[in-house]
Amino acid sequence: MNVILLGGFLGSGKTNLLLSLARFLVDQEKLRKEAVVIVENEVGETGIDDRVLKNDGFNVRELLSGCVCCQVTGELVACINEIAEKNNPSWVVVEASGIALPDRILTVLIKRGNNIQLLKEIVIVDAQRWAELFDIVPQLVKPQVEKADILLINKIDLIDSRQLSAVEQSIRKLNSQALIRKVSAKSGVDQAIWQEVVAGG
Amino acid sequence: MGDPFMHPAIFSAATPISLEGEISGKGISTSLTQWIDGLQQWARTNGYLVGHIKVFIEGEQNLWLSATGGPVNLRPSTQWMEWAAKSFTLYMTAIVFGIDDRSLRSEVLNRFELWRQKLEKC
Repeated sequence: MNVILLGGFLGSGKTNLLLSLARFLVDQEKLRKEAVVIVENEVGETGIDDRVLKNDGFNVRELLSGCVCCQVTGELVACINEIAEKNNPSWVVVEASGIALPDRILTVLIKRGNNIQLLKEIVIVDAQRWAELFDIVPQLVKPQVEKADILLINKIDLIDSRQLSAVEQSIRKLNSQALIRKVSAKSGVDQAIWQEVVAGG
Repeated sequence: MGDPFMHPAIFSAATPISLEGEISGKGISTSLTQWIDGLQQWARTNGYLVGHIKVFIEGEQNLWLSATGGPVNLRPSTQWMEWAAKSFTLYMTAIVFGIDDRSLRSEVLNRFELWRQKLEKC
């Protein structure tokens, strides 16, 4: 079982990119949609993203309340291990809540996850809001970016090339090691990028 | 008092909506876009940071609206615009920094009630 952990701040476009990634996995490996299980963590008492994904035909498990990193990490690991035992799908894609620190979840999954052959962490950055978020909530966005292995700078259709260059430079200062790719969920993600992200890193 | 931008206020709810008459998918899209815009304007005016505002309509057709302080993004199901709705379930989540849960809940519910009353008059 391969696990991809998708993190990134609130509104960075995680759910749209997750849909794009899940469709890519189904198409690339000629899988039935059931072979890709999505685990959704949302803050609040009522989930919305899980309904969006279910309406697209995917098998979705929901973990509500708090953020994955501090409140429901144990539940997440139990959920992943249960999926491994009962379904053993080819892929599990976990969407962390927008205020979670994906690196912490990754650490717990490495220690306690069962039957995981491949574990990848992707963090999404909202190109349009990066400067504002970095200014107002640095304590939340910086740690998400600093430890990521793969960073996708999303919403590049909403800013010009000069602004994009500034965002990339700012992110590179925080994390010079990560694989960085620029995408637009709205315009569609180049399949070669998903190929690289899934296979490499 | 701690940093109000350290932890966001969160409000989420689900509510069934039943109308006496029908309303078009387009009508619902327009009115909900205005509702979200109003909430975002209120947040801006008060110096809050919108983390995310999301609404999902689930009925024979469905519609997903989301915004992070700017334009509202809409993702309708294929037949949404042709749909005339009489009953559906509305899910909403608002995550805002700089305010407490109770105040956010009160503001969202007040605005939602006004939206519902307006919808029933359509």
